[in-house]
Amino acid sequence: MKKSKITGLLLAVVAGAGLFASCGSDDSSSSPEITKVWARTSPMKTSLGAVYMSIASKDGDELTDVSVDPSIAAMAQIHEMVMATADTSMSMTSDAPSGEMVMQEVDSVVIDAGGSVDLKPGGYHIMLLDLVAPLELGAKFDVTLTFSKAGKITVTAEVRDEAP
Amino acid sequence: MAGVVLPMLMILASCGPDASSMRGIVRNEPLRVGAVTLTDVTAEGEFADHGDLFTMKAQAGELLVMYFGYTNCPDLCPTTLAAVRTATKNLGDDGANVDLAMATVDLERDTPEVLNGYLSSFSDHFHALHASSQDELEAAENAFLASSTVTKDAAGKIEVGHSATAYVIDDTGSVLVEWPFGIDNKAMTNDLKILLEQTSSNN
Repeated sequence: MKKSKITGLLLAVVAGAGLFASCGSDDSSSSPEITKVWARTSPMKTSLGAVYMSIASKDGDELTDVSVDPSIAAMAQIHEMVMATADTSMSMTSDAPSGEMVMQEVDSVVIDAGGSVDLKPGGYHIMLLDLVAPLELGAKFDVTLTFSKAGKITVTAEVRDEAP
Repeated sequence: MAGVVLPMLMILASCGPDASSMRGIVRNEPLRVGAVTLTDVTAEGEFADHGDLFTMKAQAGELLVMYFGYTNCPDLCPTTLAAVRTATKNLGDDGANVDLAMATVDLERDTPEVLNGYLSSFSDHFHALHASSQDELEAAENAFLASSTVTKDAAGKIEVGHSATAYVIDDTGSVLVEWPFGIDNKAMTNDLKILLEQTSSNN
């Protein structure tokens, strides 16, 4: 009985040390890994843009807010494209075989521990509203992402015609 | 094994020699949209000089890519139209035989000026189509089995829902292939090459 208690304590200490070690040696191990950050060239006469990326997280995290500098766009929001179904309030104008796609703003994007989420056309995207200037091929700009655990992370988006 | 092979054989048999290598959706009975007309507001590019109504057919021996979309569409529309643009470029000189048409489903916000500017980002030879009434738009959509819904909430925020398929039409008004959202430029290039060969051998 006594022995097992001590073993348990030892285990806790070792585990604790392990935790410290992993934090100390690599601060970023718990931060989401963000790759393939790109924004589409914005068509003429439009003031909307979309930013895409891939977010992976070892420990799991939640993207709760997005922002860009006001010199790029007035506002940034997280959006998701969804297929409208018969039980939504959407009134369908015909019984089309393919459903209508609608865009909706979402509060957050959850990344499961050990998993990843792609923000990609037809799924999630960061929508830029009231672009100050068109997004032109090859340009780069910063996007600040706020995660519930990792806090603020700034990444750089490259303007491209299509996904990298 | 036989269970896998049999359906595959049936697919090959039902689609004819060329359809088997097509990447988009090829119907056994193609949609016929040659009777559809939409108000033409094209003001730039090759087709700036036009009549009041555009008839849903490609020019003789050419192909027409038709899309129902709207310019305040940050994700689906530019994704598909950019893929069409790349596919057309991939065709080299033959790309000149593929025209683009887009009918806006957002009649209130998409003025002819906005629509022309938008489409000029994707093609040098486009038809900007803006129905003069919701009925005119719906009649066109019905022929394509397409649909759209524009709703305004209490705060005045506009939400647009739309079926996001692109259609490739020949000079008789038959829809040769339908590209649901998500088909990439390589698949589009593949389909356009096959269809252009088919079109030129028919003429």
